[in-house]
Amino acid sequence: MALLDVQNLFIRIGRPGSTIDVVRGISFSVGSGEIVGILGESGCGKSLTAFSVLGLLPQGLNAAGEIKFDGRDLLSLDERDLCTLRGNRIGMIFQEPATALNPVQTVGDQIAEPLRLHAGMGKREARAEALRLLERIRLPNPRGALDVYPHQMSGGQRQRVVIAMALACRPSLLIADEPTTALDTTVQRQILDLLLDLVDETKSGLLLITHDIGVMAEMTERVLVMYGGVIVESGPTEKIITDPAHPYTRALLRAVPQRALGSDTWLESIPGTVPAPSERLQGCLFRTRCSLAGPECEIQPALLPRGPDRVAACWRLPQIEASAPA
Amino acid sequence: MTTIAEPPAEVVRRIRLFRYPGLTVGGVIVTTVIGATLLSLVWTPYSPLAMNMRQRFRGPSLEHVFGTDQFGRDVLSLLMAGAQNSLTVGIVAVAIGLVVGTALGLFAAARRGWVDEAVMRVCDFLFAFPAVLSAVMLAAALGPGTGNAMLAIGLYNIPIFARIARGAAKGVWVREFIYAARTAGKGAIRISLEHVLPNILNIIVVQATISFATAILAEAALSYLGLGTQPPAPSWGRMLHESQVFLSRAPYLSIFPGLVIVLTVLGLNLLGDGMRDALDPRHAQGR
Amino acid sequence: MKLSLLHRLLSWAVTLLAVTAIVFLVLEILPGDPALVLLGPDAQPDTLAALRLQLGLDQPAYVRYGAWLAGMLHGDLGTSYTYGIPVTELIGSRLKVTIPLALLAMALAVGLALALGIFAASRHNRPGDYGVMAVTQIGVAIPSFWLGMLLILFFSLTLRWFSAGGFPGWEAGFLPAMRALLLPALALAVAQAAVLARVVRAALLDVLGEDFVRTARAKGLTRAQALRRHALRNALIPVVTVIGLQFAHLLAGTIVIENVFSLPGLGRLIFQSINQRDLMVIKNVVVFLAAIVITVNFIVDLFYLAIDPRLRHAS
Repeated sequence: MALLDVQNLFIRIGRPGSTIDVVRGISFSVGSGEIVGILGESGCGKSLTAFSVLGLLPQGLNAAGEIKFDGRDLLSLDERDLCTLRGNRIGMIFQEPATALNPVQTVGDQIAEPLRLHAGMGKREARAEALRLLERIRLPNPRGALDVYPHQMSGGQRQRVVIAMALACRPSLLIADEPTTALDTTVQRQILDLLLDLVDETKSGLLLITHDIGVMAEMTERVLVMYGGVIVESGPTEKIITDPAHPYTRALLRAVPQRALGSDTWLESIPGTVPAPSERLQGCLFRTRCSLAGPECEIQPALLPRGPDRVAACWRLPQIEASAPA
Repeated sequence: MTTIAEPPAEVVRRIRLFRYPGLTVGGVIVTTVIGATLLSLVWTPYSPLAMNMRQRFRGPSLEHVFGTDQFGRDVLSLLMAGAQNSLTVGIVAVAIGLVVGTALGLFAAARRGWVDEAVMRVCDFLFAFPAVLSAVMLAAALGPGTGNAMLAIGLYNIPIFARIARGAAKGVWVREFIYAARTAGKGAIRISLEHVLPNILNIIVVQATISFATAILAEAALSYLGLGTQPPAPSWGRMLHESQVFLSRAPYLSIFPGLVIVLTVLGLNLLGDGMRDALDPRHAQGR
Repeated sequence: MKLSLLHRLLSWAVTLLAVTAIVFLVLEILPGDPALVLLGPDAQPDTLAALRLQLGLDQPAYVRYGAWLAGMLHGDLGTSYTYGIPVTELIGSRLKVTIPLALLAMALAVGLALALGIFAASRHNRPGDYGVMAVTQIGVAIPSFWLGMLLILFFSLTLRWFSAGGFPGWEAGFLPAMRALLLPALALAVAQAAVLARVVRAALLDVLGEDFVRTARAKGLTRAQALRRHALRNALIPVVTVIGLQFAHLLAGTIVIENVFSLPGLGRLIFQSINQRDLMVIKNVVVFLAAIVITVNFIVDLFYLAIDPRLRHAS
């Protein structure tokens, strides 16, 4: 059985009388030691999916469906049980290391906190363990870093601290929400390498959320491509990169070389923008930007198998496959 | 596609009133107080100054709704007439703070640099003198009186308005239409008056309402100490001072003036907060 | 850090000097003839002349101002005209009432405000929150002196738990003295607590929306733990600012409250001095009160450095 098994997950913004579905019935799983990526533009619901696993959706948002972690349905757990899982069995790495750390607490105290909370360690024991963690994330001068405040560190160092905090209790599942987006390119490299090594070492599962195809290609074994709150395509990363099926994935991949040529705004090469959930558009949401869209696209296409381990949701799949392999 | 039918206008209005209950309640209270004050200019149930020794210390009754005081004067009439004094002091004091403070704030925002720094230092300094303290000084130097109370409370309000006006004005100065006005060759003073002031007026009006409430509280305290309104002019604060001696004999004499002050201040604060929320819904959500 | 400390110390000294100048200007220059203020309009010309000489009023203003400042540095504030004892002695004895009163009131206000503010913030947009907000709205509107009268009416005259005023002195023992200060302190504290509770709530709500609070929750802290361990200290910065400003109001409030409860403190002293036109006392007590206010704000500045490590390492 998979470590994390999400079935038919919906995330709703609930206003009395009218609810809007931001995530609409997605299913996926992450196994132990497996790295699964969720790829998509901002606003597609990928970060909310991550927060729903932790039970930390912002106020006013609700999740429905099934999120099974180690066989237990997280959505039916009460707050107390969730607290014993968070930071203990499930660790989370955030996008913005500058704001993810408490500015008025030392780094050592912040890393020690989950240890004292979940592992029942005393002050000294937790401090010693925090030091070991700082060594493990390869922070220069780990002993000195214990008593340092976040603002005295560089962005990359802070992100290492965030990772150390997430890893403190040896969680079996790690969730990383755009862990390198806020960092310089060279620092990105180091953080990604660190993550890869750590997952390899600890055999935890990693759910990696990113909009960066480069990061996804390098890190993940399997990938889910999300658009407008649904999964439009999923399968082994390698196959999706070499042979994308969904027009959206194909457009994303076509945009990559342009980015390599120095254009930052690679998504502009796909005309149009993601429709807001409040527009309550029905059917395939990508049709507003899709060159292949036809009348049948106003009905939501189902995720259909496309070769082993692969699915995609598009009415035009037969046509795409018939034309030319990418 | 689903379409939502527009609710009738009446329902919308009701929902809006419900959304800012403070604004509604505050508005009703303030209107009532102002109405009663205006009424007292032409009519009060009894003469607020006429003494009637046979009618001393009558508790609340149909004849005298709030009872009579140690001189047999009708408390309701005294409260209505006292409102004139409270509102006048409040209006003048707020006007002093508003005009001087807003001017200072606009000036600081327009000039920036050391002028800004200097104006703010002066404001910090003025904050060291709470209204009661400056009133004590003025009373010692010039003798107690309504004018000094107004001046003292006005002085206290200057830094409050200056800070708010400066903060808001700085936000306006970076907007595009200011650049347009500057390229059109308008001077800093003209831009401040023509373009900045109209855009910060909302905030100033809200602050004026809240300052009005604190001014009424301060006036009452000063009159209680004998540093504000002088006898025989009726005043809420002095009524409380005079009633304290009879606290065990006639507690209603102390209760009603206090309730009137609480209600008036509460109404003004609700009105001010409600206006701020209604003008800036983002702010309302955060609160 | 040393630089910013020096800067703050300098600004403290300059403000203090400005206060003395303003007080001198208002109390000695503005009325024209201080001797006339002291003796009243019916004074005989020869008594006036004698007093002018005694007070050194024949000397130019700047000399008198300088002499006052010099005396201040030596701890000599002159002699009270009405009491006939040194003003320092007078202030010293009255401080024993006012400072404990203000501190007790501040402690009550801060305690109440933290409890109410934290309660409201942890129940944001739920009935408990609305209830606290309504209570604070009313608390702000209650005049402290009227609340004092109501407390006397209820606890002293009706229940007879406390005396209706007066102060037994610290010689009577700690508890009886504190007992006499409790009702006045409560009357002073309620309005301040109401203001402060709103600040605590707003500051907490601000901080609760920050990323690091979400991080804390992701570590497995409950909402309440995250609030206590991570949000509260960060929210304390605006709260401490307001506490500093409120101390000024509290001190000024003692002038009123000490009169309600007939407490022999600085506030009552200044009030009596006005009635007796004792300028010597008034000017020194006003400066003294303003100096406390400025010093408290200076301490608040230092407090920031203790709370916020970012400020400590800046500059």
